[in-house]
Amino acid sequence: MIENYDIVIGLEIHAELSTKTKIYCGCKNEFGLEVNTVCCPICLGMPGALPSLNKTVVDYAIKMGYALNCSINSVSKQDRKNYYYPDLPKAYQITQDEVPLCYDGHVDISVDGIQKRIGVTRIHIEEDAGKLIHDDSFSGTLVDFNRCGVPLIEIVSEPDMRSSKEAKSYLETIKVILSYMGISDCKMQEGSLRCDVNVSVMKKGSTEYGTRCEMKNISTFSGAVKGIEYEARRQVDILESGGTIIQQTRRWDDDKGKNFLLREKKNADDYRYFREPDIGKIVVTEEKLLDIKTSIPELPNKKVLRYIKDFKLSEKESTLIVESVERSFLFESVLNIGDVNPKLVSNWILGDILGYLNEKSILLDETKITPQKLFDLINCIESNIISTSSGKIVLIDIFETEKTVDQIILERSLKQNSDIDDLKSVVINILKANEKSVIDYNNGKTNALGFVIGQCMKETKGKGNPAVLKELVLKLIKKD
Amino acid sequence: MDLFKKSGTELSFMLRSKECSAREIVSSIYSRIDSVEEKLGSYVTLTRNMADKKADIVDKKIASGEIISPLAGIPVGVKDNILVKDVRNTCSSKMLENFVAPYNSTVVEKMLDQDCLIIGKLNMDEFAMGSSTETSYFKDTKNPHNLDCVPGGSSGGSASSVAGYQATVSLGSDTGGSVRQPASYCGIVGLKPTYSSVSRYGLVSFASSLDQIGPMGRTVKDVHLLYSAISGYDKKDRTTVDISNIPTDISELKNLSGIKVGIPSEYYLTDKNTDVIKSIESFIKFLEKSGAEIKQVSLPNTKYSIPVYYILSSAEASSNLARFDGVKYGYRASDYTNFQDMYKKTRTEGFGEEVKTRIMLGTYVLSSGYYDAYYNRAQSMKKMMKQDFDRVFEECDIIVTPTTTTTAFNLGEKINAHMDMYTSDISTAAANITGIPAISIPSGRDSKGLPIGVQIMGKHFSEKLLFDVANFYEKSIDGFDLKIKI
Amino acid sequence: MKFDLENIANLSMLYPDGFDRDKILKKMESIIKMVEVLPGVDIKNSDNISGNEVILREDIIEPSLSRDEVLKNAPSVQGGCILVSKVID
Repeated sequence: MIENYDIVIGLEIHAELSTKTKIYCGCKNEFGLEVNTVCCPICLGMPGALPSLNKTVVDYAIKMGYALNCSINSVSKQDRKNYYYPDLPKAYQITQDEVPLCYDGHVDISVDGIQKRIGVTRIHIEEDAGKLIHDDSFSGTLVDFNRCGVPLIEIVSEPDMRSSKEAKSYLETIKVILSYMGISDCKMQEGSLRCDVNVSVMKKGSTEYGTRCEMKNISTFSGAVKGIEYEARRQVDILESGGTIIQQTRRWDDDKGKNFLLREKKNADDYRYFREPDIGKIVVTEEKLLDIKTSIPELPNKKVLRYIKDFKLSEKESTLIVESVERSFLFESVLNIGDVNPKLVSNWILGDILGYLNEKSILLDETKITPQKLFDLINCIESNIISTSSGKIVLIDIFETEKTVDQIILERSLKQNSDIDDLKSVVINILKANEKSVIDYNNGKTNALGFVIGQCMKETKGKGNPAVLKELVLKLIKKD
Repeated sequence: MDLFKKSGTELSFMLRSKECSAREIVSSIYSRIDSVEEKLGSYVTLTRNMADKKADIVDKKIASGEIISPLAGIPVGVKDNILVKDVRNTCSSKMLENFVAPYNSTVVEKMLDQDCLIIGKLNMDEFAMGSSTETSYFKDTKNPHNLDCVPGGSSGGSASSVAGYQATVSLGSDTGGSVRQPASYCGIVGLKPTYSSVSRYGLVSFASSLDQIGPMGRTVKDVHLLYSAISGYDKKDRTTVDISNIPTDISELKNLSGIKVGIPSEYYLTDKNTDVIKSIESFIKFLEKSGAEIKQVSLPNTKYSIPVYYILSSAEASSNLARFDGVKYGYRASDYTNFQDMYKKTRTEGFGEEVKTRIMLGTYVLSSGYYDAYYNRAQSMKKMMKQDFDRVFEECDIIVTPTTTTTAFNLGEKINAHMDMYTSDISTAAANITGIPAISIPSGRDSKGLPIGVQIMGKHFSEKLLFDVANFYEKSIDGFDLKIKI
Repeated sequence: MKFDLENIANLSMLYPDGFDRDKILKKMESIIKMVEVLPGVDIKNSDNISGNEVILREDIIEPSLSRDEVLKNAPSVQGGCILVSKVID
């Protein structure tokens, strides 16, 4: 049945900004501290306390606005959204209603190699709420206010996505851009990137959107995919059995793989927005806008194209490198050190380096690798100082120790033997001991060559330069 | 020596010339409080320890020859919605009966920097909503001129304590007239400063866009002294502006020539034969005789001040008072089934009727479907009222009106006649809506012997001119008539 | 005009009882009546944003309160947190 429908998806992404302090007070903006230790009268909503808007929050939001091709409102304001919840100390959230900082942008995503443009309706700034801690070991709910006042930007998309794949790609694209801007940690497991999803379905070929439902509490990419698919199926099932969709807010439960009704949209959602009287109008000068615009680094989609063009990487390779800020930084830094084949750097990063990280499930910046060490490693292999297989041993030490590549090679005596006289005697001995292979080779069984070279490598304990050995074997194996 | 009877400037002079000590001032004030507080009911909390400690500091400074600041050693009362660290701050509400302030408001910080003696926290209408101090959860406050009468409100305790010599000066807060109206009822001086000239950090918000903390005293110079201490830019209240370039020191005028005084016809529509109107008219005659130029002016949109005031203030209050939910501080109901029930019971039990009425009114005018008809319309009217005043101030320097159309009424007289109560802000609310400064000074008494107040309004940040004119009048009549019966 | 007192009280997180309903309704209606004399002025929502420009705060860390201070006025505390009755959403 679902094949007969188009799914229409819009996303509201909340990203916590990585400023030093909270949005309206000087409390430290840091995750994972002991409960209720980074709070003050302002973020606790104590009587008489007033907000002081953080300059960096405004800058970061505009930066993201430019990255998503938005127009910027040089004069904007803040509004109060009034609702009661134990994690919201003032019983209103300071946000932006009518006039957001950024509006009317777009971003290009790619699904299965096909580009698609997704509209960005708006980006606005607001404060995060605290955390409720539920536990069966006590009768009530505990409130930790540390997260109150952590700065957020909310990025609202147009309903331009038509599949969970597109939604996932959009989410990934936004995440990578946020990372390159250096304005958010984007740690989904810490809740610094969350999203609400709006889903509706319509019969294929129809141009009229169906009634949408909003799904809250999505905090993983896979959750977004599963949630959208679940919700679309739920709606199609209702329609196919003759029902109608009622506008609702639903809550995604990642563990159960289901969503549940939170509330039906009616006047329950009367937030009574009005201008925040404690904060004057936010004015951004032309000069400031220009400053921010010029501070924007190369964006990931441009980077991918540049890697393909300048470094002759495949699209897949460049995408894989660019999707992580750390990888891309390592890649470009190695190239900046000196003359090295970009393809080799890419192979190392996407091959053994990524393999190691995946195996240990750690991040690049949790290891001790540096661009200089990777550069040296590749150089040693290229100039035949060590073999490729020794290189893999060196890499482990690069990850885990502070030692230089030279030190590692020395300590592990991995230096390759390229001395012709040395190796010649090895080859002569091996050929003598393997007469049958020599005969086979001369009778046209060329695969005997590999066996002989292998024996030579074994004899040199892996340190014989394979290229030199091969050359010697070829020269000496022939019977006239 | 009745030190409690002295003005702030007199006490400061006596301290410097070592005619008295700060300790003696504290003792004198508290013995006065001991003898009249039972009758007046000005205070919710007394802070004797704090005042004693501060007095010792002042006395030590004087003994060591250190130069003391102008307000050092002066007893100040603080309205109970302005936070003093580690002191109970109730807003005269059951909701905050046991709430202890976790920090100092900026004005208190500034006063303590000047070594003021904070005497205690003053009774008020609950959350500053009311005009008689009768909505206080704790008690009624009486008018020192007649104990059967209200002191006005919402800063009733701030006015009665100063008029009753239980404090030399005091701080009130003024959202629609809450400093000027009680000042007028109690025969003292009260200033509503220009919006944004005094920090609101630590003032429990009622209506953020209208609230200002205002100084009250028995002489213009005392009010000026306190205003100078508390005003100015504060990085904790970013709605404040830097006024350090604007002169505020009082000039001793010889006459009022060159000053243009606007008399808006709209404020004099009531029965012209009342004692209040007569008193104001003689004040205007005095101004004219002293060389001022009197002009009849018109502020046509002033008649909308009351509805505009009620919409804007209630809307903001409904949001500002939403934080009182029993979760983090203050009263929490004892029996409840879930957290919504806890919220509702807490708020229903913790707030008085006046506060609940205004919260619901504010919720209503902001709710979906009514926002444009009420809140947005009031905002537009606010702009039009500003234009009215801008136009008048092109041809006038100050505007003179009665502070209130009547004098202090009896306790219990109006608390149930709500319309009278709600229109008693008619002369004062326009200054809050437009943000301009306004001062109320005593201009005489009615036939019952109750004080009458005259209001002088000026352009934004023209406090100096208001002080100059008020001070000129005070000197010309050899000081205000401050006689009370207790 | 008629108030939906139940709805307004609910939005205000109040119970619409425990006080004199007639009195409170009369009070509110009299205020609303005053409001209705306001002329039908031209309302444009976001024409210009009024008021002073906000001076933004530099992103510099300032000390927070100690946890004891945070919880000092709390009606109910457990495990360094404020305790409320079970919240189910």
